[in-house]
Amino acid sequence: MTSEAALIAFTPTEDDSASRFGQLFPNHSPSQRAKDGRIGTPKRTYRRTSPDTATARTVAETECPLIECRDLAHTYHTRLGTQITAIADITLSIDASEFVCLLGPSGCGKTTLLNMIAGFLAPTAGTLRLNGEDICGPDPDRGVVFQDYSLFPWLTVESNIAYGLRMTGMSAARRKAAVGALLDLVGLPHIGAQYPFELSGGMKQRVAIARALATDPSVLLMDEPFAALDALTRESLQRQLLDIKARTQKTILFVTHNISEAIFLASRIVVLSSRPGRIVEDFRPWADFQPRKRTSPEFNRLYERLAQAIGVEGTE
Amino acid sequence: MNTIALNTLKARTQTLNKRIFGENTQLGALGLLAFVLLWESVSRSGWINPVMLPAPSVVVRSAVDLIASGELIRHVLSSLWRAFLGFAIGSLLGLLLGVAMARLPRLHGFLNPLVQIFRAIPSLAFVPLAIFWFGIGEISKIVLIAFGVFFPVWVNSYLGTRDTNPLFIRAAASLGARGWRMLIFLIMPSAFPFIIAGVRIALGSALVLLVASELTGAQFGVGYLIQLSQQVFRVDHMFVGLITLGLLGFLFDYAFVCGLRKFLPWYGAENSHAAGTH
Repeated sequence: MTSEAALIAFTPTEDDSASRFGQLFPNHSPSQRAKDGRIGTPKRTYRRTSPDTATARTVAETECPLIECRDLAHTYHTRLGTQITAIADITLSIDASEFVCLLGPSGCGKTTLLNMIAGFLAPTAGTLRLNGEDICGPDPDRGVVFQDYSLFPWLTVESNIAYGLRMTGMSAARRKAAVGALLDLVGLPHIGAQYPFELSGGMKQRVAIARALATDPSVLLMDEPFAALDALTRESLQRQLLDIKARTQKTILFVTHNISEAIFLASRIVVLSSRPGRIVEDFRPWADFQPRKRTSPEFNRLYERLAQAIGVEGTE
Repeated sequence: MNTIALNTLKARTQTLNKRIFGENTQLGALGLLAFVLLWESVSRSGWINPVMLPAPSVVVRSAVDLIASGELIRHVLSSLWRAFLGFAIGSLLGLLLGVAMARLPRLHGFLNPLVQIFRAIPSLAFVPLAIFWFGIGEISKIVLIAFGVFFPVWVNSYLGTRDTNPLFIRAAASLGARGWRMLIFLIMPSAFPFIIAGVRIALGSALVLLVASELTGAQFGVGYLIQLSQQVFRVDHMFVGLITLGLLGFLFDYAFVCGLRKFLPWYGAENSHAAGTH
């Protein structure tokens, strides 16, 4: 009761959903969409636009960054009455179509930060804005993929993905078309009628990504989504995520404590210190068009640097 | 398509077999046969008055007679109708009140002591009172069954609704579920496994209360058949009534499980299916 009441008390009043759900992926240009015939056409290579042009375009389109945290802090009380500061003094701007990895040791408050951006937790100090507006409560404009499997067990894969669209009152026929495109996007075109219990862990998380993308959010928040998977599945899903990123151009904020995962995925890595979490590093690891090979010397150099920043040197 | 239907039919029969006989079908059938033979021979041995313990063959013949005359069907139908009405009313009220009390803490604070006190009283103890108030007609029976069904459904609906997985609530909230949509599309379905467990328990108590209320007086009903047969020394008819009740209870539960498998295939599957890695 309490958590849900808090969520509802936290609800934003305005609802601009009707316009937002018109297009599945507005960043996909119409000409390309026409050429592809559908949005889920596979495009295996991962390409990044040059940061200069990306920044220029962002500045031209909107004056403020997509997500803006200023002097953000979260403090909570334990049951015994002690006060714990999970994160402190977080000032961070995230631009549209960045892939930001929040990296840090366990318990450093990276999930707290993500939960605040998702709207599950309210900041106890500082400001937190999305597109220049204060974040107050969860919203389909911020898609969330959780670490634990969060697919609704009573719904089929199709209905799980369509859940957010159903909440907006979209017609069944349009939902079906959208779900088909999303299943193609995550590479699972034939499992719509199955139930979550029939899927492997990796498939569940891919469906969870599709579900979070269905409402066409302006940012995708991912909280250690691959942490529970085995190493091979994890690497395969990391590659698929880069592919999804390339095709949808979504802004992604990805929380992880896995250094090589952050290096492999991110266009920008933000390192948090141990409790209270503070930003200790914030940089873009890869030059443009540089292949992200896990065995390259560059990868190892980045690994050493990040391990040192976190304070776990050479171990994971 | 046909083979699929055939396979499901086969699987159904197999599960039915399993429910009756357990894993070892032959041994189970042997036990059943031994019991019937023993009963038959004791009844025919002359040591016991066969009126007191009619042989299975006699019981079967009486059953055929009762079925042929249409009497048994009439008893069964009136019992089923009562059980259905009481069950539907009781479980609907239990569901509504359970969900409402889990969602509204004040309502819970107000009603909880009351519900707990009534829950502690065995519902069979209300049979005389119900007859005193509502007579021996349909109403007393339906009220009693509804009363007994109410509590297990209420408890489970309340617990299931109160303990919704917070992860699901967050996921649904981030997908735009609010207010009544959150209740209808998230909290209620996620409480389904609990509610279903309550309903299944309630099926059992419905049958007990049905018989208890029919034994104390009725014009028709399987319980009434047993009661009447006692008064006219027709022990064979009593056995027919008992066996009918056993079959009804078994069929209720079996239909319930089949319905679950058909309409809620995910129910109970989360734990039993260990999905491989992909």
